[in-house]
Amino acid sequence: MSDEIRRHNEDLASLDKDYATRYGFQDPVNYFHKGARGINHEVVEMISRMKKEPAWMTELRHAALDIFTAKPIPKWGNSELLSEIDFENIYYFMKPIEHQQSNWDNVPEYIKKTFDRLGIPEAERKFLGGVSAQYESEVVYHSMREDLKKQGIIFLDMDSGLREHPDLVKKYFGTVISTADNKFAALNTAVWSGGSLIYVPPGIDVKVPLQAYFRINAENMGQFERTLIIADKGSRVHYIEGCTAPVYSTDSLHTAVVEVIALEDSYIRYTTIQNWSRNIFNLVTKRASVYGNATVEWVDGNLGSRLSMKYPCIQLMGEGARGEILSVAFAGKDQHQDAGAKVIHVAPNTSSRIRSKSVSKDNGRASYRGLVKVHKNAANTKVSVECDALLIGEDARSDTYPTMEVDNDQVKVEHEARVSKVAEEQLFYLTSRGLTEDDARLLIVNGFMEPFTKELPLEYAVELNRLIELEMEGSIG
Amino acid sequence: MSRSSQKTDTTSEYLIPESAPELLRGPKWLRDARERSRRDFNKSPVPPRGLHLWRYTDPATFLIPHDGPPDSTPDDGVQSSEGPVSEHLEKDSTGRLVHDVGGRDIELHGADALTSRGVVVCRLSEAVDRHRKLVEQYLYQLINSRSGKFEAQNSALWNNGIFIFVPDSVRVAEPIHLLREAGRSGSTQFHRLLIVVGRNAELTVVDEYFGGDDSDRNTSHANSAVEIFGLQESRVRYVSLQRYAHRMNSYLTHRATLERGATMLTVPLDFGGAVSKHNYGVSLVGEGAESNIIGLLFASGRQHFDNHTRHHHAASRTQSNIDFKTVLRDKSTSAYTGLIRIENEAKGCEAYQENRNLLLNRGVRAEVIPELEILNEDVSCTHGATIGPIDPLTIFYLKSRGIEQEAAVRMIVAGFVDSTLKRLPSDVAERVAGFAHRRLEGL
Amino acid sequence: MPDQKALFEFNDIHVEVDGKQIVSGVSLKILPGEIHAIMGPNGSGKSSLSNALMGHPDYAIMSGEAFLDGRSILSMSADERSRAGLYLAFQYPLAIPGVTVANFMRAALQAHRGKDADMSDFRKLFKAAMKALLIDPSFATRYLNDGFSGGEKKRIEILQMSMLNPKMALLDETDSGLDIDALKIVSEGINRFHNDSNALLLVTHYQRLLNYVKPHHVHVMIHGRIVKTGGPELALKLEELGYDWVEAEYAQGTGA
Repeated sequence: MSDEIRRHNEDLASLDKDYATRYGFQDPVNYFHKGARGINHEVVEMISRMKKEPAWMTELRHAALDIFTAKPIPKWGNSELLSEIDFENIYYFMKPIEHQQSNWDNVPEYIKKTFDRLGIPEAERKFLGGVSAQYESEVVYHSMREDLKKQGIIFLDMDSGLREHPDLVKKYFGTVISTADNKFAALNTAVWSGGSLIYVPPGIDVKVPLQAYFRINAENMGQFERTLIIADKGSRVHYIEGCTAPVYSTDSLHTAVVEVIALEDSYIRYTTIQNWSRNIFNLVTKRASVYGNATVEWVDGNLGSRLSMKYPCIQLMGEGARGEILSVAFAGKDQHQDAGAKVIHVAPNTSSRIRSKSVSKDNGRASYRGLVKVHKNAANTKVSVECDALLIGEDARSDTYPTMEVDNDQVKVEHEARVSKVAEEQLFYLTSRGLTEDDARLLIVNGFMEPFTKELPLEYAVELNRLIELEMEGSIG
Repeated sequence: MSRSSQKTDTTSEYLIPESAPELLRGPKWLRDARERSRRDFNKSPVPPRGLHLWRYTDPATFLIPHDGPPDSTPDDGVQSSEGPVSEHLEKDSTGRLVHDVGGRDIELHGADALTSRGVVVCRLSEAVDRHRKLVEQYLYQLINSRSGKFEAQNSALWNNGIFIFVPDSVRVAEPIHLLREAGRSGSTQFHRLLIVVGRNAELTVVDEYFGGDDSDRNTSHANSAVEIFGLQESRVRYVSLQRYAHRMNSYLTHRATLERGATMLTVPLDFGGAVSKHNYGVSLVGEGAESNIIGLLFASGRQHFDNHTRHHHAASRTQSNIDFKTVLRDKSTSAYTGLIRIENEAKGCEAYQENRNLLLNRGVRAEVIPELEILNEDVSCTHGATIGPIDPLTIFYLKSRGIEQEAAVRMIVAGFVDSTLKRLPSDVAERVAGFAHRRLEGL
Repeated sequence: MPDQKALFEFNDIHVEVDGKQIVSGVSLKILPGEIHAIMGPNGSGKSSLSNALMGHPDYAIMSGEAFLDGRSILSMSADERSRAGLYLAFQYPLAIPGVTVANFMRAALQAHRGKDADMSDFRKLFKAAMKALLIDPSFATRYLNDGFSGGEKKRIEILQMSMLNPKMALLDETDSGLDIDALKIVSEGINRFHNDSNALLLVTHYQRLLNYVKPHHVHVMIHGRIVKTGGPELALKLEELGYDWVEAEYAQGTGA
């Protein structure tokens, strides 16, 4: 471990004080099953066996492990930090309880308390159509409203999904993101556990959001959930995920793979508010395939983690398909948010829009890494990319790395980026109206984030504003 | 196509042999530097394709066998008094014109008035002896064996070098026009340019690269390195005009550094060649320095251009501005990567970058990567990029006034180009407008 | 068959934008020397009609016919229509960076006169036309409409009209964005241009311009159709009462 890393770890406790009171508590747990540290073919075999999986999945896992081992650490993003990950020190599978519960009362008290403190059951009562709560490797609680079930909507944790709908899973699993896509997608494919399977039948409009909540509790835990969402023709669905973890002195790993398939004329919105503690490496591959006249929207908020590398991707496969990515990152002290967006225009008459907003504070680093690709056949495409970065503090850092590859002349690609600090005039105006400078700065940051927060359900918007407030206080104090 | 060829550097033919005669040229310090560069070149791998700046151009394009006899003297028959040169000579008989025909003695026209004021314009190989202190102080400071594989190659083997020095407070009013002619078919030229502009001095250089073969003989190569020093409060304008013939691959690295209060205008103009990979970098190391890059690229046929610009703000209150325009037609391709980096200690900087790409037909390909690395909050920085065809509504507007489709397209492209030329100082614009417009002919 | 006496005539024009019908069967006959005005509320389709007649790529004429001087124009490209003598002064003229007003004007006039035509009188004509519209000579070397104010753009549109001297001029909301002084200058330019052998079609929301350029015939367009036609007094009534009463009359008439 380098000195820098050690210092970072020592700093963590004080840094995350606010986070700790809200999310950072740890549960003393007797796990039903706790594997050994490290990764090898036995671990993979064990996971697959415990889940009683079909042979094709077991084989897929083993092949993926070989790819993971063979692939080098990526040279971009933050390879220095990435190479600090000790893959042999991580737990790849922990099963907290024997059976998943659909009745809140049957969930063990300590887990219940965890999710209670995070406000999950309350949210479910209020406005959600279904909730899935994952604790370490497996989903411990899952429920969905009866009326939605009756409409033929499938919303299951991925393990149950594979058991109950093996054909559906086999048909789509790994079709949007192949095992060999990148090192971390391969790792996820080898050891995945939990996540969600969603299928919405043709023409069905799921009017209330479905939510999954991901919680890492144990130190050095690796969480590798796998999510697959299929919206059949003309259907609509909104999926929300939230993530937190307690604060430990050594790092944990969150490596998810999310595959989204929007068939003709469907609509999917996928909202994430990632608020992992600052010792989590958050390395997530998210991609959507969008068919004729369908729409996919990624609404992606990154506040937590030590290093996030996440670039939600949209592949516009069918004519008239539309994609939108709204990405927000807040990089506080010692954080690196390497967030971004990718759109691939394969079919003609497709359009996409990327909006990225980042705030870097103290020595935090927020990077926008983007790709816009227009294939030969994708005539009449429109792409607009807007990146806004706000810097707070002398040592804050912002990077913009957009790549645009255009192979068709009937396109309109526009890219704009701005980097600035909080304007003195704005501060002055607000303080002249009686606000303290801190309040004024917070107001400006909230205003900066507004295009994102206004896309969130109210409860989440309120929560996000509170999180930003905490982040801002941390800097000023 | 050469871009997809699979040459590797493992074959010995691409290594620079110890016996290369260039290595023995010059005084000991220079021979040492050349030898160091040779070793670094031979040691370093060919950059992998995945590597940032090599994603769109195969480095093998610029690998050339070194096992044959060195090739620095072109045969005289090829392009000795090609039209454009004499054209310049006539028009510019009172100006400062330097004609560097592939390593032969350069001709300097109108030099007397300059030399009397202490201005030096001569072959770099001569300067190594005659202005030893200056050359030793500045050569290899910005581009050397550690700058990259092909930079190391140039640092070892440069054979056509020019040295320009302007003493403190001397103002050279007329542009110095360098004509750098490619060697004969299949040859490789290693151009080197070292410019030092003294405190509060002023200089304009038009660096024109031309020649090479239009016929179907072997592809020629040029590997050029340009180092420019703008000392305190100096004003430097540097135009790089590349109008090589079709069978020419050009690799160019340009590095400039600006001291306190210095200003620089860099004008990359890319029209010719088959494959060009040009890298322009300006470091603002002194407070209040200002750099502008105004670039224009016109690609047709199967030409491939890979341009990189870099503005590096290392001092406070420095300003930079980039306007890079690209016009693509036929089956041509362009990649443009523009980096603005503002260091933590560089406060109160302003940096802007604009990149516009005009696609004139199906089959062209444009890649654009405008990058920002901002390491402190006290900045004002924006960049914008657009890629697209001519707006059909603009064409409609012109047609509604009776102008035919083709004429309307020509007019809009000329306007696109002219809005760049208009931003140049008039004496510079005059010199390049002709080439720019000639390039638009036949559109 | 076109009316022999008509300078400009169109029949049963239907226009679609993005697959949506905006103009639903409009016909008009304009004789030499006449000034017509089409008035209507926002979204009535009056601007779409003039753009479509000029051949704007976003406005598709689905059916109908149009004749200029007895020649069918709908199969012509926009530049052919222009050279045939049709002119549209745009509501929102486009900016073309890099192309100066003078170069553009010369190219347009050359196109009208023919490739090899003598252009030695261009400078004189251009200067005079600019002077007549009180346009500062510096505009000659500025890029076309690039950074021009709304009023400057409209003046440049009228400048082009006076130089190209079309037979039939469609003026789309030429009065919008003009202050009272600019409105006077532009109106004078229009009146100077107008004579017994050409004709004007003014497309406008307000009656304002009609105080200065007197129409012989006023048509009211609503929901893509001409629903009422009258003399200058109709414009005054619209100014006073707005469009609601015409809407009401129209709704009654269609039984809606």
